[in-house]
Amino acid sequence: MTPTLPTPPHDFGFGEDHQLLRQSARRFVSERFDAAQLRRFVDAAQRAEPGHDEALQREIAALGWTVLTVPASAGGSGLGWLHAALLAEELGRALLPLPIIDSMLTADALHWGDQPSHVAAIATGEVAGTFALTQDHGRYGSDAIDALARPQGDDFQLTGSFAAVSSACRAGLLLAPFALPAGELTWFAIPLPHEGVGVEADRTLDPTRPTARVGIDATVPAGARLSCPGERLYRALHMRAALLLAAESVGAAETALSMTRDYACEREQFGRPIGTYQAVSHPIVDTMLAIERARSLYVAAAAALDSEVEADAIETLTRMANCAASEALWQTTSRGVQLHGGFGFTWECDMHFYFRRALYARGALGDPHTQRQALAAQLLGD
Amino acid sequence: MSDSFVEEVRRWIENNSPASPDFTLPQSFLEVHTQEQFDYLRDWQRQLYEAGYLGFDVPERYGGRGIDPHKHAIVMREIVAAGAPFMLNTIGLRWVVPTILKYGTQRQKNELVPPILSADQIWCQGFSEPSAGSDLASLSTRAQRQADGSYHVTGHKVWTTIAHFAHRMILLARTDKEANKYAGLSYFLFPMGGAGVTIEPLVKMSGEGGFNQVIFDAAPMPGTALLGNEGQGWEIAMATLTFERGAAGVSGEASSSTRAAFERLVALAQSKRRDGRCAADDAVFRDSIAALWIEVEAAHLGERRAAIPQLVADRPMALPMASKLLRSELDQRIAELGCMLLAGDARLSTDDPSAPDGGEWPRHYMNSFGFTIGGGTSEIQRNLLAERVLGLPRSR
Repeated sequence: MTPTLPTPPHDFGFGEDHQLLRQSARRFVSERFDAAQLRRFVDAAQRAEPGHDEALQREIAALGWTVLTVPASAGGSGLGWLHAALLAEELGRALLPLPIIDSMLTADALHWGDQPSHVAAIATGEVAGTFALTQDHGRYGSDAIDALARPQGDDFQLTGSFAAVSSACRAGLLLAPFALPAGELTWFAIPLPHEGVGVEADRTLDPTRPTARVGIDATVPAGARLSCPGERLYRALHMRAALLLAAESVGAAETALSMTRDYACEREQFGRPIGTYQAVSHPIVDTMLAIERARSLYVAAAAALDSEVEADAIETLTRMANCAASEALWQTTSRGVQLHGGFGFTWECDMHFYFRRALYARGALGDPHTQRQALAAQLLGD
Repeated sequence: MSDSFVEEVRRWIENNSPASPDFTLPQSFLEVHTQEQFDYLRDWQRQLYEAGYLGFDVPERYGGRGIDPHKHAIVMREIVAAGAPFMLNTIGLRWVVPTILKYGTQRQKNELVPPILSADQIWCQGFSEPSAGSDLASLSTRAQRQADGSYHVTGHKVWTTIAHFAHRMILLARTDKEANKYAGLSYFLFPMGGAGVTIEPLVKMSGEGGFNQVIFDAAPMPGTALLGNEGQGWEIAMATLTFERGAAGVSGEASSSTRAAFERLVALAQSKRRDGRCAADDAVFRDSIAALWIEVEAAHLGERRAAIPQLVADRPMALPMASKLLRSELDQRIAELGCMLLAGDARLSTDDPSAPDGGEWPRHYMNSFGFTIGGGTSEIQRNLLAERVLGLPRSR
């Protein structure tokens, strides 16, 4: 029997405030980070120049987005996961190259782990936060963590190395999981830079989503330890990150789709727009349908998270959303390059920015194949 | 309120749905072939109607139960969930009733709608012709107005489901040869059973019946059969096709049968042994099944989301217009994977006692093409989505 998934509330919990947040995010992003700015950013990254914009990060923090899900009583915006996911879609449309979502997820975990001063620093935009989930890229799961935390008087001695940590080169705060000698998982908040913590940037294809390998052999005070249960935080952070990545990918795919759609209307061959050929128009329709499927799933997963249904069901919907969204972005951008023809194969066409994001998103936090394996295990047993 | 209605409907279906007959039932309203199948299914629809559960999409003055989309969806979902038979008069209920309610005269609504609900009058659809399939507007069946205001119909309709049992046909015919191909069409509510009409059965690829061609040779038709005005036929036919494709579909109705098919697929994978081990342990099948599960849930959630305007604000018509395309292709892939799981056993027909699941998988797979072709092929659906939703230029 197929596991029964939670039925989202009749309206998915969507209200006026979701509408307002989405509208203001769309307006803000289109005004402050358009396609020309994205190109300047990527070109700068190509020349190995820092292209990111500290002022913009602070401006966004002032909107409350970096602490979106932290309760208002703790200095956050007090909004839910559907808000966060809708916002992520808008950020994804522009490939906004700032660690907004990383900060948002980090702040949420810090609040749960009772670290109010770090939350406050992320709220002002003074510090960007990020988190580590994998030691060996591609293996996600708290049981795959063998980094160690040994108590030493009032301190902890931390050792371990983490892979593919998003925006670690820019972050002022890192959350990382460690196993205590008794085996229990726990998390530490480590300010960056930090003695004994080496951050080595990966040379990534998608400059809007930099990652790094982080090696840790450091001593931190006991107060850096998050108070929440480590296993639960691991699972929650992994699933929330996978959910927001799905929403972001849907946004990125949406922009790629509209570029291809516009090109199919403008570009003429054999005396007519190439969009009149079904060999061109039908794959565009199929990518639109893939995007709509992924959107239905991420909205439902976010609504499930907001209505606090059982964790297994949230995980199922999140894995589905993440898998569908990575596939949709992959499909939209690979068809996008192909349907832009010779132009699509050049640096001059923006499509490769989105194609690069697809390469990143497909592998991050569990690739579609891994997600389907996990879903099959749930449906059919191990 | 609604929860107790779910319980009530569930209980009623449990107590009243007919026992399995000793003959093979068709898989859908497209394959009703024999008199015993027809009588059995007609009785079931009538029983549901008389119990007060059919017609929540029709005003009371036309024999319905008053418009209540929520209750309508519950009834349709529960029928599927209980594995009870489908509605015999689906063409009448789903396609004809909303078309008549939208375009009909008071008299047409009063006279024609109630017997559709009660299954007293079964309807078929006369749109396609041998030379006018996807290019429907090029059809050549003529309806010639006579001096007394009646018409004579001459032409040839094909792939006509249930024509051999039908009392009426929604008929698209050319009334003006001079006008352009769209403007010359009119839409009629044609009474079957008169002179000049020959119905010849067609056999489907599955070997099943239910399909016909209908030949009209100066068949007389009263002037009152005209729906709307002369020349309005294309507009009305497009409205019917919109209803047929589920673009005005009821939330959760369509996806429940897809979900039921998927659950049968999971059960098959868990019971079928291949090379000495369970098919559900095979990595390739596991991946395919998980991929289908994602799509089944996405289809279900998409129907739910489409009902909330703010959640489809950027592209409100995409999901409703894609409903038939998505559902028919997903159903086809579920049936196809079922056949793949069966491997060699997919060769066995429903007549072979050793056929797994009574041979339903290959039968389902063959019949699934009725839905990816009928009501506008998947290729035509993609053209419509490209033009109407994405604003791409018209394909030629």
